[in-house]
Amino acid sequence: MVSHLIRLRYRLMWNGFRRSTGAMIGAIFSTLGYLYLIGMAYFAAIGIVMLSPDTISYAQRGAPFILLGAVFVIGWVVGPIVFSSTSPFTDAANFLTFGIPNKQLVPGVVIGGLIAPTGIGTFTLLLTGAVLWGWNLAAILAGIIAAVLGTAICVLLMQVIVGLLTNVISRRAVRDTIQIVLLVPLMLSGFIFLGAIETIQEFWDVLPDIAAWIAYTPAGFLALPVMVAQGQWGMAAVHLVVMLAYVGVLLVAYNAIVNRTTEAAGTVKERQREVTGTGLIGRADTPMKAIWARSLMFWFKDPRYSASLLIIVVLIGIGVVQLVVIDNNEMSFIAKIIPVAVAYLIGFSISADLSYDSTGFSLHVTTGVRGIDDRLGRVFALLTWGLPLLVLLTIGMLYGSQALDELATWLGLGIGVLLTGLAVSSVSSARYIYPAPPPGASPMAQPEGGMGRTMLVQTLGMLAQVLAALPVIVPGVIALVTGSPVWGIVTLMVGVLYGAGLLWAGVKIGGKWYDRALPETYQAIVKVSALY
Amino acid sequence: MLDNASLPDPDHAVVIRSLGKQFGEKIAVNGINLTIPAGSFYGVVGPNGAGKTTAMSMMTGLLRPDHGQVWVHGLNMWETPIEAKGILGVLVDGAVSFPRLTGAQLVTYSGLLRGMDADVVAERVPDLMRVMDLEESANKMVADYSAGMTKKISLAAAMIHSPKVLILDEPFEAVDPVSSARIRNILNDYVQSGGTVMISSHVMDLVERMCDHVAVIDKGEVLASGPMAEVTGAQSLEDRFVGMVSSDQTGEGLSWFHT
Repeated sequence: MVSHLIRLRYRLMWNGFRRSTGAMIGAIFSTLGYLYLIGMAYFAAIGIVMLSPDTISYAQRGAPFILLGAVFVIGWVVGPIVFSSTSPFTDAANFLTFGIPNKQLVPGVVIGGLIAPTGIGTFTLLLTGAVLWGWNLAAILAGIIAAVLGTAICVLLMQVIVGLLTNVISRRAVRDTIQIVLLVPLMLSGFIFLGAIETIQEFWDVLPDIAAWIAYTPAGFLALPVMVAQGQWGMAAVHLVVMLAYVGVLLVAYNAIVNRTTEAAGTVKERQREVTGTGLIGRADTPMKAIWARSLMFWFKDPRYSASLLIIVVLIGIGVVQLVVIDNNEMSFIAKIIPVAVAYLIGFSISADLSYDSTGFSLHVTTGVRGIDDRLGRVFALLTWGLPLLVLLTIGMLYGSQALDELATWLGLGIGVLLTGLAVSSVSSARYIYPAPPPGASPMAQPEGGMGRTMLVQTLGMLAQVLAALPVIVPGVIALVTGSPVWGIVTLMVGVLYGAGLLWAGVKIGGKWYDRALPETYQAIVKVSALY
Repeated sequence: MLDNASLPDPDHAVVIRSLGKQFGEKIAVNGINLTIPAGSFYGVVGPNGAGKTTAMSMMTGLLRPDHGQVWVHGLNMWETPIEAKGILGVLVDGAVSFPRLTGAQLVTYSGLLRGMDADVVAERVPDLMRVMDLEESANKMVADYSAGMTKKISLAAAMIHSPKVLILDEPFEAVDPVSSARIRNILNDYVQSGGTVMISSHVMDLVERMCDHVAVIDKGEVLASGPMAEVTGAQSLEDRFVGMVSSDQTGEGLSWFHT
């Protein structure tokens, strides 16, 4: 039975490739990239070994190495949750009807996880720990043990946490929040990395402290060979016992989750706070207002929309950091331009609206909604929160940079970019559908194929947005370069008047396109929703 | 061939002429003709992949036909879609319908999208929730509904504007027997009062019991259509159906499948 479960993994993977060449090509490229990474890691490790312990001490070698293990643990846990992995092995409920005893299911899933491609890849990279110490037999052995234990901890921790999320936590809102909160560090990782590079010397100095701090957590499994290489036998023994204990506890926990899934099958009911009445929708009285109300609700209730709001929060965070922490007048331009960037992004965001509706859009088709109502409702929903946010954000950022005299210019730029962006999205999204996660999927779920179309539609849409905004950008740049308040007022007027005019035209044209090609658009939606 | 001589009789609920659709090499619907009299309870049966859903999609404005026409009470679906859709209620099989709305919100939304008066919608929603036995779940998100409940709420959304014609793709799939009986009664009353219902189903018994007219579709063609008694003759619908659509290889049973 254990071997059946292991073979099933590879069988499923192979069948996935047969169904989609795109998936296979993607897998080949990520494998090549990962092999390159492994090659570099061993190259670096051997390079370090060439140096004597006097140049780079074992403690210095160990610290980044221990962190590497921690990074893997985070990757294993965060990855499946954020990207809502489709591996059937993460949910024991899938094996419910086969009546497999725990004694076979648990080892089958865990060992299968170890020798699946992801497990082997993890193990191979963690095994660099065996070569870091030169010809030290004990350390090599410790490195191998640490890599095995480490991979096991990664696999088990992932199974336990995903199992908890899917089978034990019954509040949808809690699950949504966890998923979105995990996205924040992922989005910020680029900036964190840049910050770390900037202060690399300091980072290097605190590294051993961080390593020592995590050594005895489940993420510190790679500390074992470091301790052995330094001859700290007592600590190494304690560490090994602690790590084995973690594996044991995780096994017990996973076993308990499988039990709970089996025994409580079907009894874990969704619990949620009930709203009373029909909310905003109940207050609408025309088709356009109904779409307005529904779209507005979804911006805050649907994690797919909330996730795109997160990018705005991150951008605002960068602006605030810029103003408060760095507080450098030459750099204040970044803080000032952030509201415009936010305007650009939210103007683009509604271009995925129809894909987000997924096949639910059939309700708009069969009820005979007019294109203009559909377009207007979605635009108004975004403007309801987007416009006040933009105005407040612009005032805030300019106040922070002590540049309120440029308010008219920046406000004009922001409003102009937002309205013209919405105009472009209203037209393009009426006809050009690209894959977006369907309702219930993770905001970060990736389609199987269709990436080419996504890139094309998104790139063209974003370029068109820049072109459409040019009549506002030109006077805005003149105003900023010359510092002329007159040009600032001109920018504001152009932004509002031209923006509103173009938006009206965009809604009109988008509405026409919508009416003309409605069945084709719906079929395109059906097609892309099947990619998930 | 399309009969251009005269427009179809608006007394007929749905008239389909030479309706055809091809996907690549595969002819999904091969120029079918159907006439669905007003006040009839019309069943469409056929094996998987026969073209039922494709035909229904073309009748409801979801899929543009390659050729042919559809009239709903004399209104051409593909020339005057908004008018035709106005008197049609549709249940799309397999479509997810805004699962982050509550049941009551979804039905309200459906009514408002049709331009109905908000007060009328507010009056009818509780009635629909009651007959669908969804009163307790009215304020729960559709995402948390079971398959049967989702089906019922979509059905309610299709009925809110009291249409002249209901086109329902697999309306009873996953619906419990109690709700199913209640929905059948509602649909029967609706037909008695002059409404027209067209359903597709795999369950022959159900179609035979409920419907007064039937069409058998296979491989994109209408094999038989008309009043139930004329199509079935002396046989049961199931026997007649299997006789019509089964291929030459009847296949042998499982020699080992007994105890």
